[in-house]
Amino acid sequence: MSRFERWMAAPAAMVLVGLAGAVNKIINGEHALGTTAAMPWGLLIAGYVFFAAAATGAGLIASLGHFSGKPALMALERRGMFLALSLLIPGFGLIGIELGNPLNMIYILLSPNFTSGIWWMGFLYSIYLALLLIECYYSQVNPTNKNLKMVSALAVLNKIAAVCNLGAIFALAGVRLFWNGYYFPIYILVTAILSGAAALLTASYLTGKRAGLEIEPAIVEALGKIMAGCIVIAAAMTALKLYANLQAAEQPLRETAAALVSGPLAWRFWLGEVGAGMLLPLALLLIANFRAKHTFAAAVLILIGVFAMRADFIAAGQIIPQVVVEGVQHTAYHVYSATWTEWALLAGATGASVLMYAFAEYKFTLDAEAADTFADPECVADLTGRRKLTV
Amino acid sequence: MAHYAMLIDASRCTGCAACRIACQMQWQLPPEVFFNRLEFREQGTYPNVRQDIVPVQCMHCDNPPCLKVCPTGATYKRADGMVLIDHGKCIGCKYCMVACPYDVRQMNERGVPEKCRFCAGHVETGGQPPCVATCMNDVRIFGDLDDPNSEISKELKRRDVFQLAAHKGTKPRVFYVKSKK
Ligand code: SF4
Repeated sequence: MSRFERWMAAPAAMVLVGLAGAVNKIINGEHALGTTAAMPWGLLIAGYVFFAAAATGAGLIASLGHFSGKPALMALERRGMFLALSLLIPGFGLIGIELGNPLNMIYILLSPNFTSGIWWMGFLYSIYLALLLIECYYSQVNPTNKNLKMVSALAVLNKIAAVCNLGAIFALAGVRLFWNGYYFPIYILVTAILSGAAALLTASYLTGKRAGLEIEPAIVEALGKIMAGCIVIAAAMTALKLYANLQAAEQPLRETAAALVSGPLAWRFWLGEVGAGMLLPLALLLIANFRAKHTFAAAVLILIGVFAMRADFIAAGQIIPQVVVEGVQHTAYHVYSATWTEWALLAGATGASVLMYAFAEYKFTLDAEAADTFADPECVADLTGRRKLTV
Repeated sequence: MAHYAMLIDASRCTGCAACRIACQMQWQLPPEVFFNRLEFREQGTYPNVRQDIVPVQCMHCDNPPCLKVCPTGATYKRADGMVLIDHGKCIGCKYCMVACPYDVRQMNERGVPEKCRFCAGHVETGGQPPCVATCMNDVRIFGDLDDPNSEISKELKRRDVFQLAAHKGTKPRVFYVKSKK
């Protein structure tokens, strides 16, 4: 078994576990999930939001590379596009299995209801997939094609619209007070960039590691600064939102915020969202001044933390029973506990994402051309230490 | 054109759940799927306490949030006021379940978030929904608001009524008689 094959054994095993979950979901339908009539959206939706938002974040950083002219970011352009594709497709897989039949996603486009956020999600993310495929294709066969600039510009608008709409799906659910308002579209945009940067750094670091080479410090610093900036914004937004909700006149809002801070969601909120997603990585980034190893550790923690954020906000919106008849005393919280099927599907999507990205690294040229980026061609040719293979 | 609605006098309900079972029989639902439920409310302080039982089902809202969020238009509203589901169009995204302020949608065996159908197909031919017909205490009255001689039209004029969670702007078509107690 070659070194590469050994590296790929773990994600391949995860895909097999995911397939077992998919088979169980297809056979047993909703019974295979921990969701209920009171909490209809669970971990699979959180997983989908995680993958789709991270794909958008990685794509936005790739676009930043295209338009900013900053060498460190330009070097990430192709890698960002391929990584986005490797995150988006497993994300689609998750939502397809959650729907019970992946073909249902196509039906969304054939029978549109324009007032539905989910319809717009299907539409915008389909365009995103198409634009990504075009960008990835041209990056390999004809990177200097003059139409590519226009495609990239379109893609930037599409990415921002798609990820904000993802937040709007929850904001427009109407009756779930915790999700209402302008907060989530902006919050998802910020945390999408955060998780996209973390995924990009993790991928770049590991692919370099495999060949025993160091990742270019300028790239580490650029991604590290993006992550640190997004953490500060996300932390401020979270603190403000929770503070406002804890003081809110509406009881369900106060109860939801309390569920996060000191209720059944508290352990995941403090350990996952705040600890792994914000405090620890920020400390690692700032104390180590964006050194590669520490920034990589911060990126992995951020990925865990952002997943906790997705799971928290999906659960928080539904956990407080709705008041239908005034005066009826409900249980304090709805209960949702994810099943092995849901965890298996998430593991499968993660494994598929890693495999797809590794395949792209192996098969395609993801490093920027030396002339495009750094003045010193030496440092670019081995940006992440990947062997240069052409298609 | 008929305009169907329902009036519920919860003060008459004894909590026997015959309405729920009759509905399950009518639509051949499995035991865990039900289109109407009873909510129990304690009132007063010991020793002067009582329990209200309030039947809850799809309100066939005139401004239904479930319809707005449905990505494929599987949820639709008929001209006679019924909010129904086209099973062929439903993709099972469960957005309607999240958006319904009354928590009345239930996933059926085929992955469609189902709910009360106001017995469409049965009432047009003069039949009564089984939840209405089976109730020993006449808790529910179902009928056509456009017919001034229908029982529901007369009762709605005569009695003081309210709608559940009306502040959410859903404009429900299920009315409740205000309790005198
Ligand atoms: S009660 Fe719920 S399911 Fe019924 S029409 Fe209103 S929003 Fe839709």
